[in-house]
Amino acid sequence: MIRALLAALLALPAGSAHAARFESIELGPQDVLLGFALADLDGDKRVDPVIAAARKVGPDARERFLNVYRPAPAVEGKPYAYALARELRVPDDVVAFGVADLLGKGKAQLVYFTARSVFAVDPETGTPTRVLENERVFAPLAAPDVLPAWNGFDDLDGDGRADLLLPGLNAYRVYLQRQPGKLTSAGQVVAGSSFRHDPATRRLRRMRDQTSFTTGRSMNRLTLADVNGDGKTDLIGVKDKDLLAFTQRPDGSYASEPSSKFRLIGPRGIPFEDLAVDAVRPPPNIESGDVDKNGRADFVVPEIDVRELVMRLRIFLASATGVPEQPSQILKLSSIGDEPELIDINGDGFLDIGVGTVRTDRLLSLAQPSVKSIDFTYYGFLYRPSEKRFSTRPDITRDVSYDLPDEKEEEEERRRLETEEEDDDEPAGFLRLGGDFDGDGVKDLALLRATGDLSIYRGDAGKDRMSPSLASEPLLEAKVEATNDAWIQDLDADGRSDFVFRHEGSLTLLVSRK
Amino acid sequence: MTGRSTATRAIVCGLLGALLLEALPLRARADDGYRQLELEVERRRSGLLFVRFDADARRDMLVGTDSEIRVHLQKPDGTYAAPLVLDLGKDLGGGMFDTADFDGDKREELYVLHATGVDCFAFDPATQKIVRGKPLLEGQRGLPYLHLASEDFLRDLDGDGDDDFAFPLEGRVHIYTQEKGAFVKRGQAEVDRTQVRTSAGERDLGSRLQTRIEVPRFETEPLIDPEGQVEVRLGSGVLRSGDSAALLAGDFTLRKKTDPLATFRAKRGIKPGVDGGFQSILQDLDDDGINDYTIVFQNRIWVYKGTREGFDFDRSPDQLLKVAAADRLAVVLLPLNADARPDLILFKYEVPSVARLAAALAIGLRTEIEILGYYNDGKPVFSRKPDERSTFVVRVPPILRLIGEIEEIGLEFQEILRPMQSVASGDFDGDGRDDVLRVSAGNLEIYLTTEGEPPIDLGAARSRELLRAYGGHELVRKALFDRERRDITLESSMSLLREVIDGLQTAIVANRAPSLKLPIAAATGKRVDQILSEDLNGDGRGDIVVFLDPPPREERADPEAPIETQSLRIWLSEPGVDTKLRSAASEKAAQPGGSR
Repeated sequence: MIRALLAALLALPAGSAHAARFESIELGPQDVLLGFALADLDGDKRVDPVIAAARKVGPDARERFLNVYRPAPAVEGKPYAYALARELRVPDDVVAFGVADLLGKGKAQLVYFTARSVFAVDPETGTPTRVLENERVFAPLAAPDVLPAWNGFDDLDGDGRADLLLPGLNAYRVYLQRQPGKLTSAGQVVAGSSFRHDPATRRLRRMRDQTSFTTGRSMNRLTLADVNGDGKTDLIGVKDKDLLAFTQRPDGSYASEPSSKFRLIGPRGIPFEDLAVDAVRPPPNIESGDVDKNGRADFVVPEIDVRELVMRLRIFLASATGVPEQPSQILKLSSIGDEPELIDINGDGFLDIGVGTVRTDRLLSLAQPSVKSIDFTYYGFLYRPSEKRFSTRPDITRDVSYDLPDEKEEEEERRRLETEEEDDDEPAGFLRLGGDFDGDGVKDLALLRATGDLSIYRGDAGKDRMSPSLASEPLLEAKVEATNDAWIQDLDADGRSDFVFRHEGSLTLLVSRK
Repeated sequence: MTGRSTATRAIVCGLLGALLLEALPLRARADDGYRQLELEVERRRSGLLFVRFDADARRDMLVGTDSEIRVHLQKPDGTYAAPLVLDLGKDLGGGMFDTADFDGDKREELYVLHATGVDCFAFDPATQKIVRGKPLLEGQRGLPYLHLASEDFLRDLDGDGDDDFAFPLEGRVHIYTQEKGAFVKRGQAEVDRTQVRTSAGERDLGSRLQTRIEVPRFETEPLIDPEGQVEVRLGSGVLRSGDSAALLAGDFTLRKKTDPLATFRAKRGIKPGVDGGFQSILQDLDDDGINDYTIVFQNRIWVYKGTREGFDFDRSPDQLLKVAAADRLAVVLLPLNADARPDLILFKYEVPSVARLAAALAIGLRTEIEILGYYNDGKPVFSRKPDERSTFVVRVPPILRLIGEIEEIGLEFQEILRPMQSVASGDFDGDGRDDVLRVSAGNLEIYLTTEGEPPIDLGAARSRELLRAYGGHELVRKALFDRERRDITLESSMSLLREVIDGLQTAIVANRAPSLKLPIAAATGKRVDQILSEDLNGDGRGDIVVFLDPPPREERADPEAPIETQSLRIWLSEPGVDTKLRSAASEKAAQPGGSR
């Protein structure tokens, strides 16, 4: 069901120094949106969205294709727009795609992954060039409802050419583009991984689906960091309670065994661990970045304590001796959130911490009949370079309430669900501080409610940049279809953040303009 | 073990092998005739099988990982040797594995069904190695498998008593039957398409790359029709949604299978997908050997009796019960009295609103479940009015408080349920009849089935027949209708569950005394997850394999270390036990009136 998107924007009063607006662009709709990538294909620094989609061509048949969009030339007074630059048919055996310059031509190509090979495809002509073969890729069969975009392309060895972290069945293989268009194997690494093993307990065996035979694998993602301060890009990943670091060797390759291991998750830091010993849990959302600018990656680990219903942010600041055994600092919040953001909130060049939380400390007030809402709060903590630590109390706080439906509304919803097909949508909404929508170098708060109301509150850093605040009135507003599939990125390279929302059959871009 | 280099894998295999060799204190107990072994096996394994892989009568142990099969041959003294490792990762990628003895040499071979065929691996006594044999099938373009998995894919599909297999492809299966020592393609059937799910995740440390492939299982029930033709019917879950199975080519006749309740739903406007609360139970209500339907939807209960010709939902139901309006209804069929017919038990309850659930976070929740019992009196089916009635008042403490204790509560419930996991059946005295074993009060207790006593059938013990056979209706009545109003709190529900399980335990052993008790450490007894009975040493008597849960955190050397292995305890029967168990059985049989 293709839902209409209402693009609205209330301009601020004329004369406002922080005037801003959103322009809404819908890319699609498609019969089925299989995936998308946001990358600069033509080297003009602006994002060229690539959408993977499927179109029905028969009762049981679908054709897949990639739509490459390019920003239309900007015209004064005219809205920002994208034009479909090319539509490429995707072969049936392609299991994933990507965007990178693997041919060393100075401009990115589309990349196709099949079960055993990797191809670079000229987006203008559609001509494929095989760049790797006889490699087992993580998805041996194409999924009918998704064509994932793989983004494991980076210049690992610093030679200016894109390299590839290729996900196999049980390890990532590193390929360096030492010469243009030639990929050379440089090792393989894996952090945490699992397969769909036979349940070790009788209870779990009984719960297994008897109607199908299932085979499955998962691997924790790796990210890039400089762990040892040598200026080279290392690979890091999480396995169980540890962070594994695979340092880059002088020749650019990586060893399969981690060069170091750091215990980042504290004792009893995983909720219900003893109750479900065999559970394959996703890793926590550990954030990494060089907070103190000593050339080494630092880490922020969220930890939820279900006994006290609090959250701890365990901060590890690395030094010449490596990541410390004990956290450098712990920030305790009387509320729960699990997705911290490591971002430069105040534009001083140092990374700060932000996190949206559920106010578990206020849930007890639900005992009062007059209280009919659940509270959320966004907290921001600045890094204080002079003290080499984060603020011990939040520098930014913003409260948001969610009103609980009354009995009548709930009964109407239940009746609606009884007559319509089951609604699979999860409740959507977020609080994020990851974007700078007015281009002043200070992060602004984005609030999306379940109703689809999107509000951006302008952030101000104060004269010394250490006294941040958020405006009480929104800088920008829009009405979107509520979804948690949202990304913040500067699409048009104008120094202002923009939004990308993914819906069932389309992408909606909200481009912030003056 | 995924993601390790070959060298590391070899080291790990060696270590595990060493563990197996060294962690096997043989405790010979001449008094009870069993020897005890201790093993550690991979916790994250693709399968564990006890099969006769070499030339002797002893069962060897096959342990599968994601890409390897490790074969531990059983030595004459009962211990297991270091593994012979078959690394199939690079070659085959993954696949289903099963065992069978197709060449009749009294040794089972290992068969792996993978993307391009079915390969065979067998033990070569001359070289003492695992060698590749002639494949059953090759050159196919089947489905890819992401890892090895134990699967019972060698099964009798054509009803002639020997094993066959169905080779899955995309949207169909090819059926290969065993004929005169060879496998011949005898048909193909269309099935549901393979479900593939892939997710690349975000590029951050909190993400995962995941792939999952679901292959519909091809279940069959071969029947010989009056003309002598084999009829293959597909079981549930393997048909293309909305359609029946269709035979594409081959020698089989396929009966079309449809949703048995499609007519019923259509007549009443009940749409699949928007039928929340729809419930159907297929069970024999009138003891005529033919299943009947009890169907529940909204506030009505329909009963349709089955006939040899099937069901006719166009006619009026044999009974229609209307229930006073309730938010939700749930029905179970359990015995309430001593007759052979199942009775109807109805649960009526309200679903709390979101606001009430939110308030429950702080102040807890109180809700009532009304339970009604209708005897199956055959007039026409169930009583027209409830014969039994009670109300459970469920009190949930503040959920915020509960969340903090959920781990302890969950572990406590696990312990209450543990006695049901600590039961197994097996032929422990070698007389061809199943006996029962259970863990109780620091012992493995063996209860023999002897002449003159009703058989102890643990398979029935797990089903409704147990309740019927051993007066279980009293258990049901006590649990549900003992009092007009019963307060259900966390503590009282645990207590009730304990009572029920104690009652079931008594029913299982039918008030008998054990024929033999084997001591088991109290701490070990509290960790039993499952018990298996297999004749491991080929002496004709079931041996005992106990799978254990990990030890509690406070008993582990490093509470924070991941748990990589699972502990097994094995009791191997020795010649002495034969005398002990048989003499115990003989004594009982000699007593007047038996022991029941």
